Amino acid sequence: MAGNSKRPSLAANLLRNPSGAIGFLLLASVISMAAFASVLFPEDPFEMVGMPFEAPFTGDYLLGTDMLGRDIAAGIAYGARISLLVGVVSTVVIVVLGTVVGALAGYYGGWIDTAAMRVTEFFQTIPTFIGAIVIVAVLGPTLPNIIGAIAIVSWAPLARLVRAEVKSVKSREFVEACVSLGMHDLRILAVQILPNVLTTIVVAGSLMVATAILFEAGLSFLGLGDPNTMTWGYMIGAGRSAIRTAWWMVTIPGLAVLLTVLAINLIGDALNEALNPRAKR
Amino acid sequence: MSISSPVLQVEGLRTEFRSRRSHWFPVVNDVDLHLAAGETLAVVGESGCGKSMLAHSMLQLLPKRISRIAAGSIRLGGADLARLSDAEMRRVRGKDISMVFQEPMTSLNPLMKVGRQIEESIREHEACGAAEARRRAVELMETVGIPEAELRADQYPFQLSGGMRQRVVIAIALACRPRVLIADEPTTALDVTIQAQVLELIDRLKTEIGMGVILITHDLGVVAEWAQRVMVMYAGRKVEEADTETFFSRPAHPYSQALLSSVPRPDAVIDGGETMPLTEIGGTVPPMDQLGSGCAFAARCTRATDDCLDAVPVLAGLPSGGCVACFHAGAFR
Repeated sequence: MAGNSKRPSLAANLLRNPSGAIGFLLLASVISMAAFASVLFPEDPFEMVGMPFEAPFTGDYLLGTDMLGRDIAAGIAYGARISLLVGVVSTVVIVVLGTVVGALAGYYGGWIDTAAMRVTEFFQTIPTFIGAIVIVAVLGPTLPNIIGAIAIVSWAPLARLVRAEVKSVKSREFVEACVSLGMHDLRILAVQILPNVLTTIVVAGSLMVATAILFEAGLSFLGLGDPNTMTWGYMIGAGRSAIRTAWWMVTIPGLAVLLTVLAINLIGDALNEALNPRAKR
Repeated sequence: MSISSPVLQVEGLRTEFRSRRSHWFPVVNDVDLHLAAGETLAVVGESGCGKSMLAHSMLQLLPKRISRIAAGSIRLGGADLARLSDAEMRRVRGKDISMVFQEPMTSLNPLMKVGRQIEESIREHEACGAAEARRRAVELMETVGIPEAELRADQYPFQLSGGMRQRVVIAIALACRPRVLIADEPTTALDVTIQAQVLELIDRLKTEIGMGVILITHDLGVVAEWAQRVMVMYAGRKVEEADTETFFSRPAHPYSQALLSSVPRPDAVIDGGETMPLTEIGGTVPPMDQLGSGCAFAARCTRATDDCLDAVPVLAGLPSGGCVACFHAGAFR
């Protein structure tokens, strides 16, 4: 076997896949919008800058203004920051929590497994969105609370997924070989088993970013967003009353949510194909 | 080869498993075993006769929840492995006693470069830096006969052939120069030429390191070529032990005799120039949780009498130096 022939990198594999390429392009534009928001729109997005009810592509403002005369384009750009922040941070929390619980349960089995699984079942019986609403309503609508609420209602399925994968990898002979070499439990778990579970975690986690963004949009739509931050959900909620006369106030932030979630889902699918080539063929 | 005092001495080992109804039954029953440095002891028997259970008990790799060592001792260099705590046992594994598994396909982590896997094994037991571990890993790969070791160290298991993979597995097991190596059917998954190479490698390293080897196998050809002593197991018990030569020329236990006559032997010619007919052993090894009061082999034994059903025969010494557990031992056919 030719040993040193280099395999194409993961990124190259992802971009070769059409859905991956489209997803990356969309996500890159959302990220750059978020990154340059304060350069493109130096004023606060809550600032009333022009006439209210200005339609897109007609006046001074590219995407028009809302009923208070706020620049919708600025809202979209600043909202991208919150969406991405909430998506990424809550996914990190979910992945850490889900992986730790799932890995320990899957590796040790016995009463640890039983206890962990009963706890995840408890969380899975709570309707996720209603659970998040209750948590945010009780604790108050701040960004950390929103992120925490999303993480608390979403970590359980990931924990079960990781547990199942760890159980299957653990039964492979190389793990027993590691035990027979005197390696420590946690070292085997971290160094030998988790890398074998990583693809599953990466794919599930990438899709979780999209779900978290939808959750955040839903919460702010219902008025449970952080009142000091401009978010897409808040814009949709505020524009809702004028939907018949000013379609763009709802549609533009709605499209922003749609395209971002779509982009992340496309990347997730492409990741899945790139990391599990067998699943496709 | 000099055979010195035993490095490993197992006495009266009894390992039990728990059945569903919470009663304990033995899977390894009253087994004695001793192994000298530089010696290869073959443990033979059919599938399910307790060979692997014996190996796993010695390393305490059996799941604690459903198994226990009920009696006996496993002495290795002054320590009794049966009495060690989990943490102490972990320090012994891989350092003083190592194991090579059957399947080189699955006994390596598919996502870790093979060199790194050897390094992990070294660094688990010895405080040494990354560069030092790397140097030793490459050196070990050269020792086990992997060409271009430096390059191979950076490859993944799927890039190596079965024989190469098994060499890596051996390199990992020998990383800390253990005193005892347990090889659990190390060549079953390999083709015949590679099989010979791997066994030759184990034999060479055995002499170089001065360790004892326990070779678990059901291939009697392998036993004849590489082992100095043979231990036959049946239903968790040792039923016969003999030096290799005696075992093949004058097996005493009916089970040993049946095992030998179920292997094609072109050299064994009986009168008239006809080769000996190949026979099989009827039936299977009885499940370990359903053993009666008598000899476990009685149901399949051609020589069984009423005595055999009443009591378990005890091991008795033989003039050849071995021992056998049978009421009707002796006389080949």
